[in-house]
Amino acid sequence: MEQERASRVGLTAADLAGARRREPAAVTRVYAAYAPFVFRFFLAAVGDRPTAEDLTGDVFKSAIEGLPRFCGPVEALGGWLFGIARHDLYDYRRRVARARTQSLDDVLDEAALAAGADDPEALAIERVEGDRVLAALRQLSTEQREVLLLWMAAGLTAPEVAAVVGKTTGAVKALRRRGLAGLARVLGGSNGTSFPEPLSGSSEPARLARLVEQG
Amino acid sequence: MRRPDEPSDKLDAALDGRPVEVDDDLAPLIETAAKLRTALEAIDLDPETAERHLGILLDSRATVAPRPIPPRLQASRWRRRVAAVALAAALTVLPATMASASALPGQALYPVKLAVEQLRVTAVIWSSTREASERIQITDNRLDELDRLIQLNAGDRIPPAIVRLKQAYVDAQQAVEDAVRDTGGSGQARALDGRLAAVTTGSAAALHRLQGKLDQGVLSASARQAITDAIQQAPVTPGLVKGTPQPTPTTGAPIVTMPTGSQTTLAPATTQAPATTTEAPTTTLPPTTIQAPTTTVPPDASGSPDQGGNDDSGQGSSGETTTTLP
Repeated sequence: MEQERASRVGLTAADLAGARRREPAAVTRVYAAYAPFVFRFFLAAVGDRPTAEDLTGDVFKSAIEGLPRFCGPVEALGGWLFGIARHDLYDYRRRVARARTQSLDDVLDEAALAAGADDPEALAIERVEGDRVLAALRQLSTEQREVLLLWMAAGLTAPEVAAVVGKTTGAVKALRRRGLAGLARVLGGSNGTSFPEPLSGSSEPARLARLVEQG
Repeated sequence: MRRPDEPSDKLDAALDGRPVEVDDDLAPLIETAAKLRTALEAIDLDPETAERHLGILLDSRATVAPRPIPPRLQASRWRRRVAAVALAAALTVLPATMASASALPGQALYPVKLAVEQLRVTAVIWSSTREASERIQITDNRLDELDRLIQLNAGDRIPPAIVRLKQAYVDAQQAVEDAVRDTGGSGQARALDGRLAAVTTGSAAALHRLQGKLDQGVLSASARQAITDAIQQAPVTPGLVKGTPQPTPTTGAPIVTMPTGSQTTLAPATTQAPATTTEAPTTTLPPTTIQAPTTTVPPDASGSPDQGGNDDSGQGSSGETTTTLP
């Protein structure tokens, strides 16, 4: 008897079938399994919590409504879900481009100030550092940022990311390398702060540029 | 001589989690990836938001409610329209979300309630005291559910509720112990211990009520047997329900335990455990013991080292907490 396989997030084919029938328990399991990742993806991309929350809700509403049309195995559900998320993010950006509001930098500055206001020092430092990394992420090209977020925030593998963005796995890996190198450069150069523990005798920008060229 | 593509292959291998020797070229990129991962993992979805989303998802009639736009003073008609939309959205969504908070096992929204609870724990996992507080709240929720199922004479749903209560208690007790250890027995940890004690007392009362139902013959024989089995069933964490007498009344103990302890015993003295009887139990619970709260807080962060032979962590040599509340 074939044992039921579970996806990386612990969902089974039975969960998927139940969610297709809109069984509350199964819908809840699908939501609980992916919602934190979808929210991270959106918050890192748009930098605004209420917007990221709304986008996350919209993705799951679209997903649950469209689930009867999803024919893949449970292992492919994550990629399908983030395909919807990516599409919604593009829609959102189009809307924002028409009516530009508060910039991510402003939001991150506020977040950094808020983080340092009441929390314990260590936590505040951690949050500010996290905000600095996310702000640096915004300086990458859209493709690089997207690949890094789908890989790290969404937890997709390189082939899964490739399927979502419509590129080859090799191209995704190249974007990932360039994205990380770019992020390292921005973090190393911003606020006059370099890597916490400088590596022996290495000129980081030059080394990174060489590495990226090689990739 | 290295092949030109070797660094990128090694980087891909490292980023995909395969073991690879990291050199000075790769280290900054891997370090950057770690920073990005840390920044992303710090992002948590607010449990209230999750509950709102689930309320929408599980209510097929609902539409995604747009965030109410702050009304403009000069546009009263627009303001009224926004208010009407917001109210309609609230009316559509609220029933599902509110119901999940009071959902009982077996009801459609009960999984939502469990999922939201889990998200709440996940959101505060960085703080042992906050996690303990959430886990105590979850235990309290399980107790409330058991109480209501007893009131409803829902015999078939009571046994799993008992098992869930026991597991929640074990988790809460562990979390409180962690909080005590992390904070060195702060006032916050004492407060948590007090809350856990209240849950224990409430559990004793609930089981007394259950005993009353059994005595009245309200529940079916199969339900009685299932309840007996549930009480005897050990929780996942070993060593807490042992089925043997505890060496001292101050060691870690579960909310419902088998040993014939020194405190409140539900069953009369003539009750026999099913494992040792030839007849099925009739109207009494097995020798179930309700013990006083046992997750304990050091008397003081700077307490005497002689007190009860405790070590600095407030735990005894058996790995169980042995200090007591002052």
